[in-house]
Amino acid sequence: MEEFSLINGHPKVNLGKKDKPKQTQLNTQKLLISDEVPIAHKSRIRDENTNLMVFKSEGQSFRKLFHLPEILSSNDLVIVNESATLPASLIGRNSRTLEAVEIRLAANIDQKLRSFKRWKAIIFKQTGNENTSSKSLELPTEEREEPSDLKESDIVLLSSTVGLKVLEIHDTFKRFITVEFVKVLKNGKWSSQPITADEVLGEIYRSGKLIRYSYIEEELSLWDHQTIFSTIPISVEPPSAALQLSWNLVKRLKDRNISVVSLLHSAGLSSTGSEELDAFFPLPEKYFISFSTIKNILETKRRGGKVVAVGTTVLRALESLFKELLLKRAENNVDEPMRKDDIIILLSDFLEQVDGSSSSTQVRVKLTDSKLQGIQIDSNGVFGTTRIKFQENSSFYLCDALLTGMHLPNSSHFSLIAGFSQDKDNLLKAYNKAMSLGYTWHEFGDLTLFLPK
Amino acid sequence: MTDTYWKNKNVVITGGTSGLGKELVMQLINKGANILTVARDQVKLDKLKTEIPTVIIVKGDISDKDLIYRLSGLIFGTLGGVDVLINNASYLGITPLKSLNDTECEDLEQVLQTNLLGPFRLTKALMSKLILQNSGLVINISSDAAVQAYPNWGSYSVSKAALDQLTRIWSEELKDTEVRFVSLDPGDMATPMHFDAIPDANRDELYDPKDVAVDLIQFIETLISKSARKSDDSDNQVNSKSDEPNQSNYLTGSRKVRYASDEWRSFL
Repeated sequence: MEEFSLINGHPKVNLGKKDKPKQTQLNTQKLLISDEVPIAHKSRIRDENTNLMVFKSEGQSFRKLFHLPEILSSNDLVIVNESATLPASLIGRNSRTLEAVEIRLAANIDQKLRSFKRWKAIIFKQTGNENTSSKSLELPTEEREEPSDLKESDIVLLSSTVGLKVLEIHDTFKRFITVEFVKVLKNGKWSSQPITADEVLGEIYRSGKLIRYSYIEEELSLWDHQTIFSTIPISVEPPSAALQLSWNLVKRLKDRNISVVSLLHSAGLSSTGSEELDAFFPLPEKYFISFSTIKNILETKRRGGKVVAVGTTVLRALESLFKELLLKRAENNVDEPMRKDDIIILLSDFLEQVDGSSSSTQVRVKLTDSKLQGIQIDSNGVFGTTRIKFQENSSFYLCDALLTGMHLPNSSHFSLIAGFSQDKDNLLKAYNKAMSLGYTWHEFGDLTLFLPK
Repeated sequence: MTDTYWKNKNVVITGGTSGLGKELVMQLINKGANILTVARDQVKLDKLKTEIPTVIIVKGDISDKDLIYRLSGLIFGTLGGVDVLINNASYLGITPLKSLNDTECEDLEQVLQTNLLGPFRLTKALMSKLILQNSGLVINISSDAAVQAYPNWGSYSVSKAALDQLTRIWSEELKDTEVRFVSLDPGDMATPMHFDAIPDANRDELYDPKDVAVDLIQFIETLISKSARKSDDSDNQVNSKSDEPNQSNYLTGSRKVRYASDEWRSFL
């Protein structure tokens, strides 16, 4: 077993020889570390025997997911992402060139939670004829070709009635496009008649396949990428940290007086096959947080409990919302450094003003109107689009703990958890130990619980 | 007050293109509910959509395992959530009906797929929202064949008895939540399914599904208003544990409550 090591301050992986390339190629990374990182191939879900590394500043322990209720404390709050996952890999044919293409929906860009029309997407040439089309889906993403001829306003036909109109092609990365679902007419031209949400979703479910990276060898079914919390389908990759959670575990958490509440965050595409393009990811992602969940967070903070984010999507949504409140605080010329109480003040001021239900006596941070810069407020909660990118030196305010999968040391996710753990050196050592204990990586793999403070 | 219960409620009805299902769709739409229905026949779905443009239609067979997460994605993606699920779609089996001795395993299996596994899978897929919001109602449409041993109704009877038990166990497992389960027997109705089973049935002896829908909807409204009043009274202990509730005050004719959550049973 090879080891992770630090080279020039950056995590690198000592590579083994790529002598069995077919076996477990890792298309997400240029570095082929697949021979070193054990991957959970099987679509294992809802398994309480999943390994759980508990990472604290004072040391690590290696447990099972089953132990989560006793590892957490009474009065903690667990927050999950209730997004369902769409089969976002769509095969179609360019109506002008007749070329077969695959379009992977990457991130929805509609300014409404339940609108599914406009997307940032990645387009590949679909090699072979339609009968062998699944063949190129199994190629590692970085080996996929771009379409030979693609123009803006081309229509990619998905069925006889629905197509994707190419709105924009990126100047540098030709595979990176913006598309819109449209109705199509018999002649292959698009119709200006508006397309409804159920027509768009119907088409995605009819013609789409789950985005599956080549390290997963088996065919996946739609249910393999849903969690027990799945409701509105706004993700294109599963919020995988929750894949192993069962209702039994939820009940045992509740028995310990640990509430489980939810938010919605649209997990976007994580890999495009181009390292340069991947550097721009994650793309802006939509999220929705209900007032009820924000109230739960506030109450948890008030009684000194921990807010536990299940998955980096939950972390991203929560910290994005808080960043909006911090911006407001700065605008109100409150510029002293953040103290722990300030988080409570900011949250209760916010709820006071949007919901009128909080009990703070004095509002320090005023919202000028119900519309903050990056968020919209309705009667139920906050809708926003997050552009936040975490670095190793990022600060985290709302989340006190994070339950997440095992991440590759050269990924953006790893920078995030390195930052969250506040101890990258020990994290790499802990990862080595986890590897030696047979931990598995990727969406069906094992988990880490970060409890930094 | 109960009449306004349905306003903007998200209701999912399986098999909403004919018989009782269609009546429930039409009457609940009139009461202001947002409705999605799933059925197999595209022609009937299109006809329903023409009659009621606001209903969301999904073509699919509830016995098809591959349908379920597509269906739940469409339900949550279009309605946003779910408040009431009515598992109404039902399959008799091969007609003319046959004795168990002449029933093929595959035919029994198909009946169980539609009448038992379909409702099981769909309820499970929607459970995410029901539990996260800690409210909701699952109505399973049952039959007197669930308890009576009618010759030649074997597959159907077995499936409905199992569906009743599914209702009962789910309800027991979730009794600490506000998610409610009820299994209702609508009685013999003049529906295409009934005439498939008994081609020479006397229409005059059968209920009009329109009247049955009125009755069932009213019944649900009664339970909901009593439930709301009870939670105002705060913790009244429920002591009725009888599985055979006295439903006579609420449902007319041969319509029966096969099973209802504890709290609801106490109102009957």
